[in-house]
Amino acid sequence: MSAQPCRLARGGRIDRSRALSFEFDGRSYAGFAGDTLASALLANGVHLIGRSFKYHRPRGIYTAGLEEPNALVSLRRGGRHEPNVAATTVELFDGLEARSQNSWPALDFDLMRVIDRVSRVFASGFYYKTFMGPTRGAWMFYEKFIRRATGFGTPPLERDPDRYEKGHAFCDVLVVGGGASGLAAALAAGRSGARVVLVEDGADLGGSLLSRPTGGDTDAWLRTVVGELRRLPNVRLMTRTTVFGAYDNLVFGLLERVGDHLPVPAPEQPRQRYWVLRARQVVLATGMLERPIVFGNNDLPGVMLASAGRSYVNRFAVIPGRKIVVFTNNDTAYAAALDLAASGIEVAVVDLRSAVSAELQHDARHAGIALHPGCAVARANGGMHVRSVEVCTFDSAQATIGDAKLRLPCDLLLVSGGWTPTLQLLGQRGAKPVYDEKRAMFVAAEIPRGYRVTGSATGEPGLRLRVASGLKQGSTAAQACGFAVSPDAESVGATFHDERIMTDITPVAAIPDPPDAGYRKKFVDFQHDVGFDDIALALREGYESIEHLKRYTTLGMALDQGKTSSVNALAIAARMLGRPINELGTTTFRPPYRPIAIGALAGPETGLHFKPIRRSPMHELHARNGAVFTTAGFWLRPWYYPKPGESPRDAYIREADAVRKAVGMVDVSSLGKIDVQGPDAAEFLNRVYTNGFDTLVIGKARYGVMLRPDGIVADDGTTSRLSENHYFMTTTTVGAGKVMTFLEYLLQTAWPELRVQLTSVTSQWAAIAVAGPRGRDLVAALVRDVDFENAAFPFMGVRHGHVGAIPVRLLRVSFSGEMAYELYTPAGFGEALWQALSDAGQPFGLVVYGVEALGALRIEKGHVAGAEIEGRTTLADMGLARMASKKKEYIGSALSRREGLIDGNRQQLVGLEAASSAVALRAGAILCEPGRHQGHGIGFVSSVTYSPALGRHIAMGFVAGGMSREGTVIDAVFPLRGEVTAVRVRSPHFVDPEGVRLNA
Amino acid sequence: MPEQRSALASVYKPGRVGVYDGPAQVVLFERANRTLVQVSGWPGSFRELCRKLETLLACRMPEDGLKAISQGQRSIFRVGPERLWVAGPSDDDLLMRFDGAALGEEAVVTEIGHSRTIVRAAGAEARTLLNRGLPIDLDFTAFPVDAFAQSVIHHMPVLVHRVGDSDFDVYVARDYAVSFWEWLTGAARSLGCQISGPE
Amino acid sequence: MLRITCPFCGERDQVEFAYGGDAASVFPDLADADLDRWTDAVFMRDNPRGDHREFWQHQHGCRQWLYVVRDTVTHEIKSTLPAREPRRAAATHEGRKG
Repeated sequence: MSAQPCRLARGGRIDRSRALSFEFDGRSYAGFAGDTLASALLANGVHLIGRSFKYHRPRGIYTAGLEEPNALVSLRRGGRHEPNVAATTVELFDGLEARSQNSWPALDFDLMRVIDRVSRVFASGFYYKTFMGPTRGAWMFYEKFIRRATGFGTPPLERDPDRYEKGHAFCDVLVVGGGASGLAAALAAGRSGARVVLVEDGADLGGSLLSRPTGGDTDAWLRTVVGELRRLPNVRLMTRTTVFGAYDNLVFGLLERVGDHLPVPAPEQPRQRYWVLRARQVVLATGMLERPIVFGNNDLPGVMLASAGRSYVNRFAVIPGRKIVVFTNNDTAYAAALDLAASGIEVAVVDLRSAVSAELQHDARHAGIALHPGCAVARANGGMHVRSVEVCTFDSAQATIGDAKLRLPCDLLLVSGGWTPTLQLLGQRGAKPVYDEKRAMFVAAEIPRGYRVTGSATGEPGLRLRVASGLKQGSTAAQACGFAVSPDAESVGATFHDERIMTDITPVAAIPDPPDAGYRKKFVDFQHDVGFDDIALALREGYESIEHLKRYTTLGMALDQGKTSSVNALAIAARMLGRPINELGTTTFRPPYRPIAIGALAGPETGLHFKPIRRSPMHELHARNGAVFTTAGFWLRPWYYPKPGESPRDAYIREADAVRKAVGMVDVSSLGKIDVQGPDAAEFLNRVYTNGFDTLVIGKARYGVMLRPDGIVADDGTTSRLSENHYFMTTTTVGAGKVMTFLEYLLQTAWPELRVQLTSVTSQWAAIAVAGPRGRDLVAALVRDVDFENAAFPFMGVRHGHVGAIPVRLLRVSFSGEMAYELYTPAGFGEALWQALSDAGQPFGLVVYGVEALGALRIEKGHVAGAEIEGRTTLADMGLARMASKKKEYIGSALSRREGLIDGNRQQLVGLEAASSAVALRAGAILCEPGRHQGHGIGFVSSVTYSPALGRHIAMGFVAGGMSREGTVIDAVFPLRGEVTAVRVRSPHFVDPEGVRLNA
Repeated sequence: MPEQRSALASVYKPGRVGVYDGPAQVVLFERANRTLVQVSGWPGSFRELCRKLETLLACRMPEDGLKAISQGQRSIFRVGPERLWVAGPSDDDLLMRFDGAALGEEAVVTEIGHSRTIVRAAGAEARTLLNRGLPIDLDFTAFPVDAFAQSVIHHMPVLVHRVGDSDFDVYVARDYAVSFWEWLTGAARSLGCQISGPE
Repeated sequence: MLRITCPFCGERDQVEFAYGGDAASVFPDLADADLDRWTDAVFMRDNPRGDHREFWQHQHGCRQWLYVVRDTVTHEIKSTLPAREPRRAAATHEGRKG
């Protein structure tokens, strides 16, 4: 660890009692608490931070804030590795590890720099023009080399070990920005009693006040105001938090960096927290950012914004250079020049205005600053760092460069090309700023409802006025929320002397090349290496629309989203086109305002918590039984229950076979269940089902199919009539929510006159299906208070009984084609009922089966399920035309008769069996005439299974002509795997087509 | 009646959650012994039905969908324009009372006690915890004692009822209960959380 | 993200609601088997710039279907009414004429 050669002996807002050690590119350095990585590097005399995106030019630290285009580094290691972080935004902590990016083999000796030497070739569009060529193959070949040569940091390859949280927040007044005007706004609003949230991106409140010399009267003001804000219980101050998105209806996206300033987050604490905040009013106190001037070699390390220079010397007590030149087109840079000169550093000012105010001239002279008015820095000289600047005379009226005047040696060049209010959040709401020629800045024009802008964000330079405006906007925002504001709400105990108000600017964005000075690149967008010449080229090639210019040059499309470059680019393009800036317009702002981690957006919704899981009441028993689960919607359902050594296939075949031969039970709790009650329940069901339900007698169930209004089948299930006005409907597992919503839609929008109540009772009931030739014996052995004689309890009967003390509702319905019962019991008794069946089932040869065996059994019976009811099929397509009542109209009946749905050539349901018992079939295979494997074929396979009953693979599918092809052999083609399988078309009722078993 | 099995039985472990060793700012427990009955009516006669229910339960009926009426062990929520949920202790004879009252066609009564799991979140940070997923303003001015809201936490439908200054009951569908519990105890880790025995 | 005011539950996040399609079209009577009228109701949609009448269900709230007027340019929710109210039927009629 070395001393800090560029640190002032005193001053700054750093904590010198807390020395910190950190590493950059493997070397150890020292810094202090309160430093950023950038300020600590500068304190150690480190200016070279990284290599540029495209040309691999050396780059340093250009700013002191989140607008930083150059000083991108990678932080931390392993799963916590984070690329492309602006060193200016990183709070220093002990043990911080940072690395430079995009250099090979080393930062100070980068072989890819050769690209810079031949860079005239690599202008905008170069890659596409060169490599897309006549053959796409060329691009495919070269792309990987190009990708390697350009870019930012590398992504982490390990899993992120940190936690991320989400939070929902609400407030009356949101204040964005914790600078002077934001604090003032929060104070005025907070005093009214309104709930206020103030959000500040940095770790400390104060904004630009923190960059002023320490010990001034603004410090006292800041202490007073922050102190009062902290005492107000209705004000929440959120630092290290960014408002990155402004969405509809005053909803905002915030990112709180909870643990980024620590080596690792504290135990159980998240790294970051993503907030969704709803405000009733918002005050934008987002400040403004300084912008560069474009001149030759303006990207050299050692060139930085004047405001950054001021920030480093005053806030961090760092002298970023020993011999400083300040280059400006406006008054504000003098503040930096004077503060640096006050630290005993040699400062010269090059001002491209010939008329500098007498006051500033006097101050400069008094501070020992050499002033060069009417001059411009035409270029910076130096290899890895600025060594001197070429100063030429400059005619600011014509913006033309004159003769070389002198060469000023320096090791730091501070630049100020004017200021840009931060209005991205307004822009995200579609409110485009307009260009104010006089002040040379984009200012807010249209302000969306609920929004207010205050402070520097309005373009106001004077601190007193900014504070007054903040207080005013805070009060009116609170009033708009209905809070009374007392007359003294807008006064603050502490006061300060106002800084000189400096507004004069000569808006020149780019300095022309001096005559005979040789070519030097002039950068507009440092981060994407977009230069002055790239803009000229784009305009020459006709990309005059600002949106086209942006995409052709990629200007403003890097991580910094053009914070320091887009206004300069507009000014340059406007000048080249000879049109006013306002005519060019601006590009569209979109969230996020600054880069945010994907992990923060995902929050805790990763891995197991990606989505919630619905579990049946018997879930634990299945897990203990060794079930392998599968998903159906949000549900987890037992897929099969493998015995030791069994493959999934072995297991489901054994389970299905046992159901046919003895008895099995399966958990069907996930079926949708809807109580339909009320005097008009029968009429309602008649309107929504294709078949009749008013004729259903009490104590019976009926299979029903619903159509969508367009005539396509929507869902199916059984519905029982429990009493005159009470029906119990079941739906498919996946269709339950959709069906409920649609039924409510019909009742509330189309038929509000019907007196029907719908209640989802899916969660209320556990459901178990018991099926197989011994099913009746098993159920009858347990349910002693119901007569199970065939005549007393026939197929489709519904009864109530008990298993011990457990109440059960019994439906004699079957999906498997076997003698079967569905047993429903309140969910809290589900485990007990399952256990009772399981215990009683041993003598009957009971097996438990999962949804794979359930599927095998229903395919053997030709019952349609989700793979057949897939959003394109009609009743007739599935061989269910008999379900369509002719006595009534129902939802979907009119459009089910439209031309396209009654076409005789539609693909219709058939059964398919593999011609050879040895081959397997695949769902999704295309059905084709033998040997004619073209286009979409004549149909497709929807469901497949191995049929234990038939001893071969069978399938359901849809084929043109349907059952007219019975007995013919066609091809099932699966091009993905190059498979062709001969299948025979047959009835889909493979097993017991007469239904002897189920009526037994 | 046999005892209902808690949907949380397999995951419920009283004790501290996580390694954070500060004081527990949230206490979580299941309110296991509760029952829930839904009573629905019709637009034209709902007022009248409410008056009958007021006599039957000796308790006012809620006027709106914002505030519940709590009396003794019972809480009554107006979950829809003509729909009430009556929650009570599991030995409450609600169903018998409704059956015996001959409400006729004016009311549809549905027992839904098995369909919901009720979790109590109590303590200084209970509100913070719920707002990790709940998009409802729980500030006292907007959500006073007995306020309730039907909403969604991490895709799971919930009814949240403020039962005290810092106490909330969350009603979640039984099939989501384990997922909800995992979400809740996971989100509580950073706050310092204690799980106490079911009540 | 939208904030929608449910007439019963108050102002809530969009996440509690489900979009339910164009509210300017209503189904003909079931007894009306006219193919054109059904085709019109099920398939034909206007795509207005400005006020759009649409159904939303407060799915995770009171489960009411709402009749919502939303500006397709600003996303401002202009009004919400329970879909079953007779006033809604009148509003739908107005909307169709407009």
